[in-house]
Amino acid sequence: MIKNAFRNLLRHKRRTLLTFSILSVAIMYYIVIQGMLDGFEIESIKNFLSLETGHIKITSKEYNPETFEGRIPNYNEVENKLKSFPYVVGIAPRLKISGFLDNGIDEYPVIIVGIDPEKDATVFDLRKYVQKPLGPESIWIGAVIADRFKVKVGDMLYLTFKGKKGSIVSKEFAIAGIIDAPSFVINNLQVFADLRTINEIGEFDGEISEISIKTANFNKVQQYKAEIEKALPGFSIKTWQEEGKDFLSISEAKKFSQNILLFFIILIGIIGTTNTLMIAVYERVREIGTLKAIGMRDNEVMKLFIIEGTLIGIAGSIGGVILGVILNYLLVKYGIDWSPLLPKNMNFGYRVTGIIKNTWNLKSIWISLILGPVSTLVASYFPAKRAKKLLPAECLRWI
Amino acid sequence: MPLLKLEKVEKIYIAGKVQVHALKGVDLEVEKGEIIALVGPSGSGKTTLLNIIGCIDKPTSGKVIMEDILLNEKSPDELANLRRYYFGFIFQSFNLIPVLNVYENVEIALNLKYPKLSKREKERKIFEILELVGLKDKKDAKPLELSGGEQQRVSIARALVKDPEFVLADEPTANLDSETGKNIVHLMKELNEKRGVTFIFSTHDPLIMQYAKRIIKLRDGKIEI
Repeated sequence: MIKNAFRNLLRHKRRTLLTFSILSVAIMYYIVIQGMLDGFEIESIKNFLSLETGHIKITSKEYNPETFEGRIPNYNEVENKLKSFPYVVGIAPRLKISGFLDNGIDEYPVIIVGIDPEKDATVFDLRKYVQKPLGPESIWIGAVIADRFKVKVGDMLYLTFKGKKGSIVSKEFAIAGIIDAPSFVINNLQVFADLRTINEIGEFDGEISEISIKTANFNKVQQYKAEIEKALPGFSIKTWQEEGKDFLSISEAKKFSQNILLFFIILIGIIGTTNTLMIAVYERVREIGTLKAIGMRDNEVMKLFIIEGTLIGIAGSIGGVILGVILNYLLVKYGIDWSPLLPKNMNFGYRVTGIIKNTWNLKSIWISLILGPVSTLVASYFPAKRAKKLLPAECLRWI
Repeated sequence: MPLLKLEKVEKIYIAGKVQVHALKGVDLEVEKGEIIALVGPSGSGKTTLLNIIGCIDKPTSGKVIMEDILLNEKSPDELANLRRYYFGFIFQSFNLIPVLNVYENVEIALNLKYPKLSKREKERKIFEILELVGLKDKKDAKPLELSGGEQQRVSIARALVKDPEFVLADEPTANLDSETGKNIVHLMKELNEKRGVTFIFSTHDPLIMQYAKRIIKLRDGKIEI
């Protein structure tokens, strides 16, 4: 029966090839798009952690992330306690205040982030985006801010903000870095300056806004959080998942629409196969009649068509997986430059920019290998049922 | 006791709003080892009668009885089994499976009746029948590579290979030249004599009528007496 099914498929080589191609391309798309979306997701989470939150963020319980009120005094004590946890691999204290950047003509509201460049680098990954290290007299600014002032590295800008005691203070800084990172907040709103300098000018008495930490394993943050909470009872401890609720919910919503897209890709594959098999049934009605007349039972005739459909499915799946793996391999190795589609001044939710590489989604490969034959099996069921229902004499009269 | 009995068999085809009364109360008894020629003009109901006898069509009313078993109430699978074990069909337009070669076209019928036959026994039976129809040398040819007469002989081999009780042949010589037609009729006569196979032909061919033990005339769906 399988041999016959093979021959029937080869009888109309062009049509079989077309169905095979539709299915293969649909499956290839499925694998590549899954790899791409996973690549976006992984890159996005990696960037979110390495640029915005760290793995765990510690603030005072009164801290208001919008006004930046409620700072931590004596953070050295907190830092020392954190150092005692073996899984804490990086600690970055940051002071955040709102202020203005101006060039003497225009001004632009910004979030000033005071950092200790050495400590900050143990948690965050800003250095790879900047041209020069951060010194006491220099700042790093987001790329969109730099565009707005038409400045380049080495140019000077004034940073103005309200000190602890309410007085407005201002100082001129040299631009040491223009950050074009996969983060809307950094590119559009943030200015990084030396923590000590900001502390001195604003007379913040060594206070900071938050401490971000990097741990040995960002998937275990829930467990770490519980332990840190015990050691620091008066503080608010948030994991990156809690901190990135909005980002993660956008990502979930995106997944839903992506699944719909994938569903349609697969549906096209199924419709293509059903169509071919349906034509095959109508073309071979007389043959079906002959098989029935010589004693083939209805279920055996049905099986013949289902085997044919499933064979196309198996071939299409294997073909699709091979194509998908080849294309995905290239995209894992070289990636795609998305920058023309992701302008810096727009927020897409995803923390990605420039060249994004695909990743391997083994699940999608397994699903493809199963989905191809299963979908064509389903697709061949209806034409096969049609063949089953026909009376032998009706088939033989068919013109 | 007759091998097969038809009682008041009627067949009405409905094509859209048109009703065609193909058989109008046919009574027929067939004994084992008979050669029956069904004759009559086109549209007289010969093919319909053959189809009903061969269980590939169902009568609208009346009874079809085979060895005391009423076939009207049999399920599609039971009817398929009857066709598989008892009947061999020879069609006017051969109806061979185009993707299979001569050997395989014959083998498919044999496999259906004897699925557990050893390979050697299967080959023996197929080559024997191909020898009989003179096609042993063309066992690997596909139907489209054969002449009409050769295709008809494959169709005969396919019908006979499984040692059926009945062979139902719908105008088997209509698409053949007279010489080939003659050979085939001789072959069937031989099988009837040697193996006791019952043949029912629908035909216009005087040669077949000459060999028939009984000629049944059909006109407008009725048997003419």
